[in-house]
Amino acid sequence: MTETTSLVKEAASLFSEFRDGQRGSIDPLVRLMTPTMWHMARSCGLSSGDAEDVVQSVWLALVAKADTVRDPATVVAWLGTSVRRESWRVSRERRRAQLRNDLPERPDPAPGPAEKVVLDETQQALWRHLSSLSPRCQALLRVISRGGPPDYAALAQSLGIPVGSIGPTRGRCLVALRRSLLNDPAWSPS
Amino acid sequence: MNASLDPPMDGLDEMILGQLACLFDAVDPPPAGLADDVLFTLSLAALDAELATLADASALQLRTSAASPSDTVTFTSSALQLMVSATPDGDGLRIDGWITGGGLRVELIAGTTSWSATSDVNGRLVWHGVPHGAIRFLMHRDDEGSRTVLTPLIEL
Repeated sequence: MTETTSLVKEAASLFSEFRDGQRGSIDPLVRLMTPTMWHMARSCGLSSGDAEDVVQSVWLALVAKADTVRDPATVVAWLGTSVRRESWRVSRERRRAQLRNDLPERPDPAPGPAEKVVLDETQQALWRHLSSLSPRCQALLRVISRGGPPDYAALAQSLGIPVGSIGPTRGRCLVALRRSLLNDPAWSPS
Repeated sequence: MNASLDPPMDGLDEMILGQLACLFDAVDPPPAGLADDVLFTLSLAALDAELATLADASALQLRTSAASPSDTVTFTSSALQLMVSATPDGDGLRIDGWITGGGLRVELIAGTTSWSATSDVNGRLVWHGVPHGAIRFLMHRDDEGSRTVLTPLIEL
């Protein structure tokens, strides 16, 4: 079993327990999924504060609407879809507010320049090569890197990429990254 | 599912993905305590508390400069009213509150910490050494079975 399949399964079983009245199961579920939801919101281009708000409000919505999620097995997809929709809504609002106030475009809130944190040579090389990929590739790789080969149905829904093309998309992105890394002596597999 | 359509992943692919996960956790990690904050918000929501409203929406920020030490904010709900004001108190703030009733327990909540106070016969409440930042109040009604009341966040 791959790591992500087990993440999806673990989330499903915790959510199932929660719905069956073991309310305490929400605790491990929140701890399991929150980091992934954060990375999803950030890969939609939200600022750090907005990403936090989105993660909070999606959890509130899940608890409020727990009974309307038809199959507990889809809880990861539900969370991912909700994070993406809510992230888009928030960034639309932000853009509208900027237009209204005639403010200059905010700087890209995606992860800041890697100089801010101490990265070793391999990480710097990885960052450089990743940054040269398309934004969609960067978002996809960011999300699937959370746990190896993903559950494609869940991921396709949460990233808005048709399920049939997510494998090939992942393949293309990963092949491109891998090729440029292998040609860079600064990068080393570890 | 459609796993058969996927390009095969080898050890190197998985290693690159592993490096990517570490990279994003280093460059842009989820804020420490985010999961705790989520759980705390969920526990407040589970109280099914009535949400109080700010009587004056313009007073979203309590000013605490010496020039205006007496700014007050009033929260109203169907059954209770809470008025609070803040003054400097050492490194933090002193929060004075008045609620419509004596012997009512009110929690001042900052982040995931809460400080409880009970109103005196005149409905007076006080908290000392409250850190600056976003706070909210949770009011417990004295009659059994009635809903607790939660205020929106205000910035101090």
